Amino acid sequence: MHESILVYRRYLYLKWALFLALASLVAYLVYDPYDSPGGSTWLGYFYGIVGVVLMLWLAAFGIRKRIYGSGSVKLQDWLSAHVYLGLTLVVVVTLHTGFQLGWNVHTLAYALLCLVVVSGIFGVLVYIRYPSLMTENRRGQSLDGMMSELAEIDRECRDVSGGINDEINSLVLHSSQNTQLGGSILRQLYGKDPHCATSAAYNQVREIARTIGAEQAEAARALVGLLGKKRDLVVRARRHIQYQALMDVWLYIHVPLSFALIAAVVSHVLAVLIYL
Amino acid sequence: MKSRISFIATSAKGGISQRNVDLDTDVIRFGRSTDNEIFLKDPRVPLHLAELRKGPSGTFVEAKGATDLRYKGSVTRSVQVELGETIALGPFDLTFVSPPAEFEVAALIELKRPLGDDLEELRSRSTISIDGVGVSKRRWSVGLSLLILAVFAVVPVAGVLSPELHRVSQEWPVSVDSAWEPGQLSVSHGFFGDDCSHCHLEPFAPISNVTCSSCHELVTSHGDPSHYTDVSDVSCVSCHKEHRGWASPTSLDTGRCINCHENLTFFAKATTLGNVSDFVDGHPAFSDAYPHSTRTAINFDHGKHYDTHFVDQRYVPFAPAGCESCHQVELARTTIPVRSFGETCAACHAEQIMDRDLVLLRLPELEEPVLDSEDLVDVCGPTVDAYEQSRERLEVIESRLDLVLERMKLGDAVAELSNEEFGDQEEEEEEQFESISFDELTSISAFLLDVEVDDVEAYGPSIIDLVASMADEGVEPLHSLIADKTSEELATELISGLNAEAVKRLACAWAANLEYESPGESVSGGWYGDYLELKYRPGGHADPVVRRWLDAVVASSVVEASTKTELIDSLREDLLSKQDGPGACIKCHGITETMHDNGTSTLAIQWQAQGEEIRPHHAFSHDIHLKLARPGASSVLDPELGCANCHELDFDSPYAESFEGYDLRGFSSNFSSINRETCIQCHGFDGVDTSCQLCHRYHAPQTLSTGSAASQ
Repeated sequence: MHESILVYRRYLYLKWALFLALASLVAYLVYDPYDSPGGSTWLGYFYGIVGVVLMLWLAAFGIRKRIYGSGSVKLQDWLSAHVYLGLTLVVVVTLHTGFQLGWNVHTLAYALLCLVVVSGIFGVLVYIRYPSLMTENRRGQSLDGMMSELAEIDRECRDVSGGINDEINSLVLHSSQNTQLGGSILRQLYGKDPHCATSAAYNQVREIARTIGAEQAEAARALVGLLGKKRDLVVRARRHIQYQALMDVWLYIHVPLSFALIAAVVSHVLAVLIYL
Repeated sequence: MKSRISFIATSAKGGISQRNVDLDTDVIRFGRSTDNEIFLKDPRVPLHLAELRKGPSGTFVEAKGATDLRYKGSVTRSVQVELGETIALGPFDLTFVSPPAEFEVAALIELKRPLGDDLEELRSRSTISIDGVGVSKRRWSVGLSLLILAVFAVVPVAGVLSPELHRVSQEWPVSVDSAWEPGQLSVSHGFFGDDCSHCHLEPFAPISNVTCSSCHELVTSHGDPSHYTDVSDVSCVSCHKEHRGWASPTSLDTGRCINCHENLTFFAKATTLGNVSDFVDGHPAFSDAYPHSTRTAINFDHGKHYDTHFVDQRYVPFAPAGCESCHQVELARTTIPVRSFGETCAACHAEQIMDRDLVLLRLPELEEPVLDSEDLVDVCGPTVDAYEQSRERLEVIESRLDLVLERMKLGDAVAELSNEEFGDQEEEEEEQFESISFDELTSISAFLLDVEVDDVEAYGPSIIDLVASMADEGVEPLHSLIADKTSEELATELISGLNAEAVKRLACAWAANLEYESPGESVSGGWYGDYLELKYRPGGHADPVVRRWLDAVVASSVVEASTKTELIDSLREDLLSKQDGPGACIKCHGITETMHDNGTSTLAIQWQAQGEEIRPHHAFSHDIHLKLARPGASSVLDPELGCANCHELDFDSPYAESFEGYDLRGFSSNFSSINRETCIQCHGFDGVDTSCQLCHRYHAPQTLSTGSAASQ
């Protein structure tokens, strides 16, 4: 049975993360530096070192997940720990800053860390929510299957519309030639096409079919049925793409910002060491 | 019109098939509808697309539906048929060819633009993943990382390694250093701007004390290293943190002090100070003498004045209304300056200063005249007395000459007469000399001449020489005499304002064994001769000549110049006497003794009201406290408000005894000591500052002043 990464091994990594966060907080409250808290106190240095080690380990997950079946630790362990220790990293690094922020590379590194963690939280949430919605939406069909079915419906529509007047034929043709799934990132995330050719064809053909002559009425009705079916399928396909985009898009923030974070931390450490 | 329309089809493998449709009709219709002569099965073709008909001027193809014809690249509705020409009918091309025998028109029709594969076209139109949009995680990752490394690592490091680049970068809108600046500089260092190299001279090395001292003058260590842990090598930046915005680098946390002072005996075994962990609950009691452990500069007995003088009806009009009458609370800082003598003491004490003359020279008793008659006349010219004496003597001589002449007429008794009557006049006069003065020398004269005040034989020749010289030269002999004992410069100051002519007249009078009668008494102060004395009358408070004499008397240069300590003691006793002479100053101005490293000591009169502060690690701000106590609205004796909140008069204090010696310590103040509980009244409340730095300074002295280097 599938076990969520959040409850994996009875919250083992949540407990680790909570312990680390609480220990850091207690140390921060107990330690009374001569000067205001910050990265330059002994505890601040400790937080900084812990933060860098954690950050590099969390980044290593990107390598580990590509090496299937390697290592003694399961990928689920890595992921569960990645999630919880990633959250703890915010606590450790925030205490490292001593809440001293400014317009510099040091705060840039902190801001990037926050963005990485926030994007990670978003990733966890969509991974919890959308897989089941996707399954429900697909109704056992893959996106490829949906697209094949759409192509088949298009062909049927053209067959039927061949004997009907040019206006309807034109609408059907326009629908089959202009209906598109997905699109730009925003369109994928939106999951809808306000100018959908299929929806437009369906609505207009249905209107025309009401006034069409008796000799074409049967074909028109069949055509309306086909276009309706196609429209529903297009909606499902777009929703599928939307879910998939939502599950993917955070990684386009999480991963690049993680690398940017490492670069900023390198700059931060370099600055601290050079200007001791 | 007999026509042949041939359908051309090309298979997937490239094979070509042809199907002919022979027609014999006037009009040949093309379209998707099955009632057309030429049925074009394609959804893109309208039901009725076009017609081919023969007219009088030729054969034409005319569009019938909404779809236009395309001929030679342009859209048209009607085209005249020409052999070899092709007309586009939707996705079909209609090409007219030479008709076979028996046919008038022949054309080939071929589906040139077939419908694509629906699925493939749908896929090509659709972008179903973010990857498909062209966004690449890898490109973003590499690009962002390189950008950040370039801007925030490579460029700043290049600036550190290349001074030229660093200099150029200072002119950029955003300095490369600013990206690394962990926080804003304090106000005092704000003028460095974004140029880190002002302080960070070497990469990978902390700021050295040498860097700090290039602007800040040498700061003494916290304690005496011979007794306490030597902290002189502690790095400045270990305590003084920068880049904390507007917070001053000199603002330190109490914990830094507590770290040592909580267990001070560990760090300073010889210390007599108690351990400190907190001001309210963990601070030693203040000294019994706090804050008045050292004597004040001015001997002003608050208790006696308030208890005795200010209640005396004669002085009540001059009594101060409160502390602020004498203390300049508006200028209060660590201490509160005292108002000037004129504003405070003058009303009662001004005249007492004017009455105290300094006697520089007094003609003592002499056994012989300063000058004989001839010398006196040579030096001083004839005086009225001398003229009278000469005339009397001439008359005697004339009368005796008459007697001689008369005797000569009588016989040889002239020689006898001469011997009896004329004898040795000079011897007679010498025997008759009687000094005008029966006084002794002044202590100043005795000191200057290095003689005892009452030893006539010792001082006689010296004083005669001095007076004779003064009669001849005026001030100069006196100046030389003083300069021999002190210095040229000091001698000039000590007899500043002494008139040479007046000195001559005085000396001539004394040389003639006469008292000098001054033409007028000094009213506004200054040098004047008075019978047998040469005196100085102070012009008022802080008279510079009197101050210089008193300074000289207590100064080491004078003391060292004489070998006769009894003369010095006598001189001091006379000049510093609080009863007579100029020593009135010492009634109020304390004399302090300063010990030097070589074991010697010097004395100095405290002319300024404010004494030396000898609490190098201590600080107190009267002005802040006065704003709370509202001194202007209260009297010093008001127990509720004002200075009396902290300062309570102690009428039983032996205050005056503190001024009997020269030691500043062992002082008994007029005011009760202030104890820690006094401070805790306010500083015990939450939110009221109790940090060590509020009252104490780390460095001794507490200055971290900028030297000349800073101004450069």
